Amino acid sequence: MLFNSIIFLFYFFPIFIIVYYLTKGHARQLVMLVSSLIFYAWGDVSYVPLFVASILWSYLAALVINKYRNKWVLGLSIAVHVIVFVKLKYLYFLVGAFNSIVHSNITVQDTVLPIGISFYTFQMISYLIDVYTNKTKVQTNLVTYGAYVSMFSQLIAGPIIRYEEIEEDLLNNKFNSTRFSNGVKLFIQGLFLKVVLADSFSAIIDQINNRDASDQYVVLLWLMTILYTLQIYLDFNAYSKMARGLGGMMGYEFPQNFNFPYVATSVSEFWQRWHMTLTRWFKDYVYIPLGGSRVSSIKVLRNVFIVWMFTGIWHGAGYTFVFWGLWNFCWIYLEKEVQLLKKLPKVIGNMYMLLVIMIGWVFFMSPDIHSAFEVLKGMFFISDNPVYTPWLWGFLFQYAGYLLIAILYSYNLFGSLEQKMTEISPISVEIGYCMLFVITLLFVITSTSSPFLYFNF
Amino acid sequence: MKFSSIFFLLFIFSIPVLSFVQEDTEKSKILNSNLQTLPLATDEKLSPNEYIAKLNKYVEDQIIGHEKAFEIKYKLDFYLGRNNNTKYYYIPKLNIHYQYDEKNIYDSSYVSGFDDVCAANPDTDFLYYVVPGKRNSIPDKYVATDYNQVSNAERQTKIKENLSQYQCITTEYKPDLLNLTDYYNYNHHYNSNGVYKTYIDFMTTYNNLYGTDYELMEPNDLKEIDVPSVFYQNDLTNDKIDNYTTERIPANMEEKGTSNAYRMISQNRVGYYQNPNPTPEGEDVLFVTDSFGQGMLSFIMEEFNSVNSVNFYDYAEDPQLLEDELENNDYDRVIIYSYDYNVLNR
Repeated sequence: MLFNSIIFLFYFFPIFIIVYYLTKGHARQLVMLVSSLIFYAWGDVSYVPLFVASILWSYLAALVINKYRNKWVLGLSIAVHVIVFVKLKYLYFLVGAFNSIVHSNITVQDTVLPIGISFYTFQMISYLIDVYTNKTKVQTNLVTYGAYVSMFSQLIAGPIIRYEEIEEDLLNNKFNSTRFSNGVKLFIQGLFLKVVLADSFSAIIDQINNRDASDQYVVLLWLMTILYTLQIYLDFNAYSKMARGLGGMMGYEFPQNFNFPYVATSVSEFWQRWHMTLTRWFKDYVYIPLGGSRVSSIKVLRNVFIVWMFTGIWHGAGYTFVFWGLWNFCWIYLEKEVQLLKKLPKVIGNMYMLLVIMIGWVFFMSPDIHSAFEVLKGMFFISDNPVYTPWLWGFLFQYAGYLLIAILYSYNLFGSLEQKMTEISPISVEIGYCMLFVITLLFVITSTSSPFLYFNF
Repeated sequence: MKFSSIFFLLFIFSIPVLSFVQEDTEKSKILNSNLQTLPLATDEKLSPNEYIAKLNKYVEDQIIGHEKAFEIKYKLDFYLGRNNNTKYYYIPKLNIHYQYDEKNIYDSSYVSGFDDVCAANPDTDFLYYVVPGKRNSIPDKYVATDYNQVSNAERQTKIKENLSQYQCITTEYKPDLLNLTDYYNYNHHYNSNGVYKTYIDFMTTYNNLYGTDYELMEPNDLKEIDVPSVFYQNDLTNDKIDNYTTERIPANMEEKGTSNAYRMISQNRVGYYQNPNPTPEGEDVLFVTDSFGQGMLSFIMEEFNSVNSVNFYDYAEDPQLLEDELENNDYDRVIIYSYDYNVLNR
């Protein structure tokens, strides 16, 4: 089920929230668990058994880990999750890569990736490690644990939440009017970003992609890359905002996942602001256990490399994602070694970051490395693509308003405006949100729900 | 709790209640999308995923204010300068007009290539059959969903002018079809009623014109599977339409992978249908059709001995394709079947 679908907005969520607040304690957790399973099954019922089995496995494994404190038990319990994850997400790619290297002809069937598996697997692994390292208490109640893992607000595309972060709210869940109100605002913001902005850009990107190769003008390729840069941010940020908003309405406070990444002045800073819960996960469960920065420079290089390879392939089983990870690794490592950026004006730093990130997105959005390089060659005048077409103005006329709003949003200008308006006239902000909700509903009703980009990862 | 939260809750709680109390089935009826009633979970043919998809669609269709939302949204789009279908942009406040620079299938010269082929093949019988635009048959309250801004009166005048100039035309424009309100989809193409009526109209015209005696199928002869759901897909631009099979589709069509009539044209395939029960008087026809003609294929192919269906737009763009086709094959008739846009802008 999608947050921007009519069935969720007007049927699932209203019924859920009533039943949720009519119950207390374990009953409320049970409502959360059952509702989340229904929510998950709505996408595809066949994914549910694996999801339930994963919950049961990590629940039992955590109990055993807590009792014996044995690293082999921890290793085995994580390995099972990893094997399932790798089998479903990477086996087809790995076998294909193996075949091309050794010229063999091993065949495996490509499987459909269960929705959200990358997120819930990481969440469960973090729980198992935290139980082993005593960072968190083991949860002995299956319903409570199930409610934590399956919580529908963040099940499909994060944020990746640690058990300890929401344990208190989970065990002593109460209605909190401040959290509820903030949650509603976050949800409306997210819905607007997704339905009005991200989906509009998706339509225009499709139009450009569907053009013949001979019609790929340089300006059009740049426009497509810029639009994708905005779309992926708005889309994923929208989901995170809606997730946090729903969490707030249910009495939780989920960690922030995006902090206006496009205002960053370096690639490293960008990654401190983008998908923050994933970056944090890799830092805490991969980078630091490997020694982090407190080791020799060659080992730091190795650690950063490993983290970025993992980050790349976490996003998808393909060479483009490996290359994308490598691309980010190179710039982040370079920034660590060369301190030049700190001396540059912020505007230049921001432009440098945007250029690096946009080139990275070209790999991210391309079906293969060759196509990505073709686009880049076109963008940088290396191939003989025609430069300009007046047809471009048609696009810009259509989407100029949306583009402007998206850019202003990405640079946090609306956030600043909201803050000032709240000081001057709080009611005007409230009315503004109501209007935003009504406008967004217009788009929700008139468009078929399109899935979020990050569901694929 | 803040004002915006109360407003939000009011909306999310009242809309489903109002939708339930004041069920709006009019659009579904026009669509003939069979969504007027809640899909039943007990239907043994339904897999859970199919049931959920149908339920989602039903809920989307029946949400209160659905039509009003469309009307406002499309007006908003228009005033913002978004007018996708005609590749034309207009910003009223600034009085800026902008026309797409790319190949435009509605360009006035686009289909004129057929004229030359007709003139060069005086021995071949051509039938140019015009399908009236959906704008004419959709009730006024839904017109906001149609980008076409040409009025009905203007349209009829233009079509008549065009037809009178076209040497190969042998049919008359059918104003009576315009009175049918259950003919076209809400957004695009025929609905399942429309496709049957189109077939009847087409074959009646055909019999009258050529003195043939093709026996037309009665509605009672049709099984549900003969009017498959593919014809009432709202969004025919994607590839989500599942393949379907009908009892009328001969095996060789299945083998060619063209069992989905719409998919055939969406992928620019050429579909060749051979009647497994040919008759001595049966004809072989070349059917040059845009997507509006696709719906009829599963009906007409049983009437003729063979129907070779080709993509109107491919042939309009390159009339030599038609010339080659006529040179290499022996057709009894060439039928150019077209949505009225293509005639209007000749």
